Amino acid sequence: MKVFKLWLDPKKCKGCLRCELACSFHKSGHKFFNPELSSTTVLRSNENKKIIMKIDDTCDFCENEDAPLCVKYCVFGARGVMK
Amino acid sequence: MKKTSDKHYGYAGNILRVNLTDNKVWIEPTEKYANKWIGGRAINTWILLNELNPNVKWSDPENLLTFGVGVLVGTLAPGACRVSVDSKNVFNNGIGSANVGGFFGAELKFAGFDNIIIGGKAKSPVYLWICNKNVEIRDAAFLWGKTTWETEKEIRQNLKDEKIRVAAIGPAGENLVKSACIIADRGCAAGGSGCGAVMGSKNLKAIAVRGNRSIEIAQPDKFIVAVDKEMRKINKWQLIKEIREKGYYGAMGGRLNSPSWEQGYRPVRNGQDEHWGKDKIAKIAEQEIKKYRKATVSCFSCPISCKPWMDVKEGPYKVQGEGWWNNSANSYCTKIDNTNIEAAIYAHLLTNQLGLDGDNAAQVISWSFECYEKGLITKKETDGLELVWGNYQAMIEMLKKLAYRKGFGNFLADGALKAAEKLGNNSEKFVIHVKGQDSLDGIRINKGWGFGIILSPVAGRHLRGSLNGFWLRSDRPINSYENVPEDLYYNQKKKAVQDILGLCSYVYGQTVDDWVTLFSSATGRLLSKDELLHIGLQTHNLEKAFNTIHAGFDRNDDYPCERYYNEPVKSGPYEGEHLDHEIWDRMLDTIYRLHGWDIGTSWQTRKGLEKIGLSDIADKLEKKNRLK
Repeated sequence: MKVFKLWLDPKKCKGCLRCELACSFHKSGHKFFNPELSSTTVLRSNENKKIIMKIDDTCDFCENEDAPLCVKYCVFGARGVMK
Repeated sequence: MKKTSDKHYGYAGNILRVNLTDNKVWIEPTEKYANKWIGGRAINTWILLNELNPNVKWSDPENLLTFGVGVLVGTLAPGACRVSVDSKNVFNNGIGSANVGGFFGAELKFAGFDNIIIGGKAKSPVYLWICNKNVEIRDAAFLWGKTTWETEKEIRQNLKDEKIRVAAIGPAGENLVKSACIIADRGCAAGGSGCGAVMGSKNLKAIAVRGNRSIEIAQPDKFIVAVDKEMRKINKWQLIKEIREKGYYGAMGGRLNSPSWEQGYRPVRNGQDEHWGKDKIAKIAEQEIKKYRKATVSCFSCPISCKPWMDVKEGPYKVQGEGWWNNSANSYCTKIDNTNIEAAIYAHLLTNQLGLDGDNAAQVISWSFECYEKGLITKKETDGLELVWGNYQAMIEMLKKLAYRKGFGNFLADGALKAAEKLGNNSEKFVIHVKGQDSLDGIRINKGWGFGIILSPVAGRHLRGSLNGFWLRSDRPINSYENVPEDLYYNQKKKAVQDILGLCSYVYGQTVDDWVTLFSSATGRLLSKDELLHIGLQTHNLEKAFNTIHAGFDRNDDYPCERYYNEPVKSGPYEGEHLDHEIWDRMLDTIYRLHGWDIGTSWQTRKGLEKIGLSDIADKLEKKNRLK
């Protein structure tokens, strides 16, 4: 099992939630999308644009994937794998 | 359409029906419509055409307000977030249609619904609370009179969940102002056709939604390969880095050297001209906008992030919020001849709060400015406001008066054509409208853009296949008529498919072939490219039939305002450009012929409708004696 450690950068995040979709795709065994099942969450305030990014302890570091899917599907460089 | 499974892959699977008069909600399966109409806009339009009596007016309780989430929304398909809002058009009782992004649509699918169909009228203000399949019609007395921003905040506080998504009307919708829109997620507008006024007429203040259900994919491996292919295309786009940093306006239309300033997209002083001086452009272009842009933000599942977050930190126009578009520069700058950028940003964010569609609202206001210039109205009628070009304080006051129907705002609240009827004195000469709806766009120079706008079944607006816009460019010179009807005929089909799937026009590089793969692998429903475009063509024809039956439109309604023929562009590289009546007539003949419509009346023909598998629509038109 590969174990990744991830970094998060709310300053670069645009709040598109593709990370949540990607995570749920992984966790469902590549069957469905459901942000509610995601181990990572992004909350963007509509009042001041402030973004809070989290990863909870249900994250399995994308076991069996080539790379963490939340990282792969983030196009804004707001998360990555720690070297 | 061949289905590979009985499961509702890709769909939420349910349509929510609401009757506000009887306080009832019920559910029907999406499958009832999906096999023929796929989803989103097409299902909405089919229901409207089949269930609405032509005698029903937009404000009658019997009118239906429909929300249709695109089929690919709720997945990783890039830019799949759009919702089609369809109803009767408040300007003409024909088809009304608006399209909105944000997060509301995806949440609705995660709650279990593909479409919402709302009829009836509540006795007092209500809002709809959808939490998965639990649907409640709740008292909205505490929300009535509030702005869209306050409404979202109060609903979230009330229900104690910051993740609730809200689509709401503001004071404009409550007051049945015809330029009222529905605002989702505080910054995304379902604008045009007055759908906010329809919502207000039903006493429906907002729809709040929260869901935690799954969207299952039929062929996940194939689907994700198609997503990755789209992403590679987007990431290779030469402008992508700049758009993500500056937004669509900053990277494209709003650049000082952007062709958009010269190519007629931006009407000046209520459409008197289609070119603005360089000195003025410099005051509202990217070089100024960037001073107020804090960042860019995305809609759901969008890899572009075209939306700037604007922040005016101090002064009379202190405000912050999402959004500044190409259209904002038209509405609050060129049309009013205003170069005060802080006032313009404030005006944009004010319309979002009041629930006004900026395109429609700015048009009726700029008409009143021109009437003031021509001496047809004076300070006596305008409650003391001096509506002289460039008076941004008056523009902002007028937006408020319009939303609350106060004083001169009430005079304008039913649109410029109605106001001109009341005012008389040939003031209708200055009304820029399409089929009765106030119209944003300049069309003298850019012929493909203009032809699409005038031919749009939803009475203007450039989102029914207009050519030459967005990042789609052809080799044709911008002012050429060449091949315009042929290209528009194709684009009308393609745009319908895009709306059915819920994809955003701003996402680069989409082809119908890509859509076929995404759709088929997501849903397990097998369709060829031609079959998908065929459903797009049928959808366009449903809207056309709706207009013929409900609004009585014919060929006469497919011409632009006289100003566009008689008053050439006054300055700039396209000085002297105007529309040619004879060429316009020939273009109409061509596109009617392509559709199989009657050249003399523009009405659909039995032969044409049977050819595209819509003989039932031919029967409907025949009963109304409007079939050729």
